[in-house]
Amino acid sequence: MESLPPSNCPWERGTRELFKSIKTKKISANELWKYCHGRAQEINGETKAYYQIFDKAFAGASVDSSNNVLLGAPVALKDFIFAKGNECTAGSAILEKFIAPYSASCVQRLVDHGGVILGRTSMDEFGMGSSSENSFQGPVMNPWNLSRSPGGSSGGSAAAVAAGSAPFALGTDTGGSVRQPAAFCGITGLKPSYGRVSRFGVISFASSLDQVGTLGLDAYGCAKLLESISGQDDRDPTTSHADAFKYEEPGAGVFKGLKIAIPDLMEEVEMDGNVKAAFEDFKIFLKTNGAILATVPMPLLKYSLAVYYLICTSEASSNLSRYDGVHLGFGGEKNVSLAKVMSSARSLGFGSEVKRRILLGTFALSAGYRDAFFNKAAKVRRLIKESYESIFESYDLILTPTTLESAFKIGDRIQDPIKMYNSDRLTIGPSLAGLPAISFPAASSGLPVGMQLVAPYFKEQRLLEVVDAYQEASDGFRPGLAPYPFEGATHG
Amino acid sequence: MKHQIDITTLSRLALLDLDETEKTKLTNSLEEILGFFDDLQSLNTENVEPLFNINEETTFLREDAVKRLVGRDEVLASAPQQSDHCYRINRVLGKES
Repeated sequence: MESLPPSNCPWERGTRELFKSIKTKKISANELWKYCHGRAQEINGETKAYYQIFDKAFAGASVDSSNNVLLGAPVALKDFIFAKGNECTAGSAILEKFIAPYSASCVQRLVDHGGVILGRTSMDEFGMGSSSENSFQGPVMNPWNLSRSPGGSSGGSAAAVAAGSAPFALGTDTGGSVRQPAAFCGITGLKPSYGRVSRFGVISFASSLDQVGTLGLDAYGCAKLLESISGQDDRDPTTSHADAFKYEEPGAGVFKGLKIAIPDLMEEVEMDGNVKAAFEDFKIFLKTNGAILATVPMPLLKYSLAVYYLICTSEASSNLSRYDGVHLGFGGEKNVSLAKVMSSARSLGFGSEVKRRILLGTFALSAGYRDAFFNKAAKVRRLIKESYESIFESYDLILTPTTLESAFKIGDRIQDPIKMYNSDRLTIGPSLAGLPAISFPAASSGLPVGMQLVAPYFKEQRLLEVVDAYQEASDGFRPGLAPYPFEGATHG
Repeated sequence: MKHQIDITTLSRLALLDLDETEKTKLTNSLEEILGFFDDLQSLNTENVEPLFNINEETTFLREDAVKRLVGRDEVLASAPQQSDHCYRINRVLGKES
């Protein structure tokens, strides 16, 4: 059967066009909801992008027109983020029956800005994974090829957008969990600066790294979604005092004189042929349009994976201690010691990757090892952050591909943790430094390929306008939805 | 460097019950992962302050006012067991091993 684009998708030509259609009343918010709701049900059997598609929009009572940034557009919500009164499982059996007692600040802001929540998307358990296979409800399939992983941990959110069921989705990104799925699914994903978006009401994995991110077909969509959720929050003391983000449309000549650094690591690493070709083509686009590219030494980047896995597992081992079978989770065994009540409940509820990371973090923090592992990693983290700062004294942006390969096959890496951890090699550096980073699709011959740009702290505007201009340029690349019917056979 | 993991102690500290198969599998993978961290030890980090929090702005102070976000029963609703507005747990017998 010939592959076709999703029929009549209202944002097939981009988020700007979608907003224009709503403003000119070509489509009403209600019609858009119906379209998304129907489409989500249509694609969910094959992709498993959603744990739940809401029958009725989760929305604000009424939206002040001056705040109506999202114009009633549906947003898919990673099941890591609270929407009051709805389940929130974090992809874990231990939270299977958990009901969010309040809404996350970002969800409250989103509905106050005219967004409506379409459903809860699938994810790796507690955000721990790069393939969305570590979910208690089974793996998520990539709409570009159903035998492939959509990436993770926000794989459900990325698949929901790529399959044309929602114009936007919220995800969370700890070491690449928004950007890598965006790359694998051929869409755009932004991890804002640490402190840009409140984490209140977002389940914690690694608190010094976790950040809510936005996914959309294009940079314009990611920008409008960020506008609707950013800003200081009394309930999260790690949010910055800076004003909420407001996107400014790119002027002409965005690329002219733009100084872009490429880490020398890119000369050493092996990447797939289609990633390499897309990377080279994008560099040519930048040069042709007046940007200045240079390779820069970033010798510390090769340590970032080790630093990341020590810090994130240490923080996770502490954050996940709350799932004790008393306050949350299952009831444990009876007539045993208190420790046994708790450990029996935890062991039933957590999947194997979560157990591995809790144990690794417990080890890194335990007496006699803390200095050599956790503290050492935290020191190298400062050096990595300083190395980014010194690059940004001379450059505007840093460019790499988002990943070294396109979407891998489901089942290929799940038994090999180090290979799986390596999927995050290029996305982790900016996470450790708290910097904003964006992944966006570049023209490729096969499966989608993502490019990543990193900007100085709080310079999301620069990232978004550069990618927006690339996606609007006649010699650029406008992202498209996965062709439908989907290719490939559904896994298992 | 080969790191030795005492999986029994570690699982006790982490409050996780592991069966023998899990113990063997996790010991192997943890030792392999720890080997992967060895490169870090060669980096000189003398006089480097550890970085624990990215946002180095001063914490803002909010007004010292009581705000009710969520009721007791809404929080208790997600507990495995509850009675009389309290958490309830299974009968605990015996000391910790």
